[in-house]
Amino acid sequence: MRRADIISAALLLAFGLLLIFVVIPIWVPGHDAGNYGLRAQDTPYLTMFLVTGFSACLLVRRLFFDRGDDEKAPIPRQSWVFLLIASAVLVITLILLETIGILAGGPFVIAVLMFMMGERRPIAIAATAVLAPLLVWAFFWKLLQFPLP
Amino acid sequence: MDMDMILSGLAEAFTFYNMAMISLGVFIGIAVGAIPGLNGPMAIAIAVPLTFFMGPLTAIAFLVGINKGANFGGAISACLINIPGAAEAISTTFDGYPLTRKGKGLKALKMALYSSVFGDFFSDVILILVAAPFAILALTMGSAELFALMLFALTFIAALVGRSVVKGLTAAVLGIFLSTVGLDTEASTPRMTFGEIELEDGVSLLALVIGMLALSEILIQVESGWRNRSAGGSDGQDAIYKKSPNPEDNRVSWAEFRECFRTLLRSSIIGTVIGAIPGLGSTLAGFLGYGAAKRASKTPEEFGHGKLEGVAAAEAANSATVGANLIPTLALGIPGNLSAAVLLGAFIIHGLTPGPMIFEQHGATIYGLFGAMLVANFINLFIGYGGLRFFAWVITLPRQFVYPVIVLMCFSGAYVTTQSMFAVVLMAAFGILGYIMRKLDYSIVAFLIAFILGPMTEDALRQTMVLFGENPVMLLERPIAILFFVLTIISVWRFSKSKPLIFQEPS
Repeated sequence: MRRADIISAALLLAFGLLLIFVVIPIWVPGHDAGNYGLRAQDTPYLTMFLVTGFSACLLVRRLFFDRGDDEKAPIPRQSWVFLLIASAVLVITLILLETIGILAGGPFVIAVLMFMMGERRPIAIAATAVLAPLLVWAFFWKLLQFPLP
Repeated sequence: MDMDMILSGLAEAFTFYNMAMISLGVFIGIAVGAIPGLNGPMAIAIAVPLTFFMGPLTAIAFLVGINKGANFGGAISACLINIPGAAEAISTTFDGYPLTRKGKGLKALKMALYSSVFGDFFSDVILILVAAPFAILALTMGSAELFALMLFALTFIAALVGRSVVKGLTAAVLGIFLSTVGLDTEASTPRMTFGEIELEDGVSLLALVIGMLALSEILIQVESGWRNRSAGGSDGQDAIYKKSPNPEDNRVSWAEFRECFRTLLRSSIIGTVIGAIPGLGSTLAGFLGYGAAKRASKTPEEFGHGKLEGVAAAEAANSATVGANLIPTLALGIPGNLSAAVLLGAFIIHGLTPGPMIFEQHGATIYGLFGAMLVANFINLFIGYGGLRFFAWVITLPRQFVYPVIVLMCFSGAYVTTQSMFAVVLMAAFGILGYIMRKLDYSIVAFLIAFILGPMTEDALRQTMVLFGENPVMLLERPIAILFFVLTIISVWRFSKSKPLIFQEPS
């Protein structure tokens, strides 16, 4: 966990600094608090100062004080590969949902995930990938009257 | 609050429609809770969009039904296949599975059901008796006290969950930060909306909850299947109970129930106390209830080898947190655990703001909810009892069929929230973020609770600044606020020193 803590703390530290010096000044207009006690940017700044402080604490502690506490990485290489594939599947699903709708995006995400989980029977995959989105669509659109994309 | 309102509220729970929805909720909850890897908070999150066409009472009662059902559902796989359906059922495996191996699986399941309903009912009664007086007490608090209390609750939860206090606090602060996105409540100043109109209302709570709770968990389960790639029909969960030829092995006799009664009562009290304190989970309650029963037993050596009392102790304790979790949720607006946090979100979506004023503003609905909770216990008993064989079958459903369909439900649920793809994109992004946070041990419980409490905390801080900004010394005249500030410091200091592993957040 030590290596992961160092990386995550460093990333959060950079994230906090980016927010404090770039994002918040641009995207939270400043104004005088007047009688309101707090300005709009006070809470975002306060929370980001805390995130930066906590991350710095974790980073320093893991770098200089907890040297012996190393273990296997909590996110091994295989998980990163999985995350990359899963993200790609989600993005493609979102594009299909946006452009064609649930009756295209649904079968895609179901078929791919079933395959990833080890299902290899084409009929089982095809039947689930077609029937499940149809049922979900019918449930929301026909029964509850909520349109789906 | 007059008696008429209480009675009319209670009567509202007993309409056919509400009872049907509670039954549906309980049924879904047991089925979902029984499947390892799926849990109550996830089921509630996905089910919230289904409640949009319901009235507030029906909606919350339906979701509470899911919560209650899921709590018992976790015990089914715990007893039958030694895999707890949810983390709180870990202690149920200690004696539940050995009983199944002895051919007494049906007896173990029935004891788990009776104990779960007993503990749940007990804590519901305490909730009904305590919540309103607690809320009246909370009404006497000013903004300074409220801010100090929120700060204490947030730091206590953040410090308690997960392995690292610093990471828990970081997750909580990030949750508060995310809650500031959107229009500032005082001056309507847009904050970090990046020009997106859809962000002006803030980050969609449902997109966040579905993504972080459901999608991220499913991604972890899919990854597990992907790495093992051993499927191909069934995933090998075949140790389902077989009905024993000896009728004694298939039922819980009155004498056996009576023998466990003291244990049930003790565990229910433990679970209720643990449940009422934000941050302490039902997993801890289960362990403490089991430990207390073992210590009090004349035959402690039999625990862990298929002792019925062990199942009763664990199940009554973890189920007794269900009602008690709603004490701080309703009276203070501070969710006791993840399920309560999602329920709190559902309250808000349906126009009810939990907190001291809820009994004044929505008294009839809340008493209706109390009635629904009591009814849900009996429904849980009947559906659980009648459907044991069905739910035992549910846990054998191949996961490679179940999980992908749930992912589709996540997409649909996020879409119907706002009828826009923006919420779906957010949900997917939070799913990925939740996956990374789980892997890196940044508490999603602290993150979600802080996100929900963020606006209330900021408002309380703002009012405190208005009141005491020019003369902070006046804060010293508010002993309750000072008490909570001191408790905040003590809790962070105490848990950063040492923290029992039992407090680790279930994933």
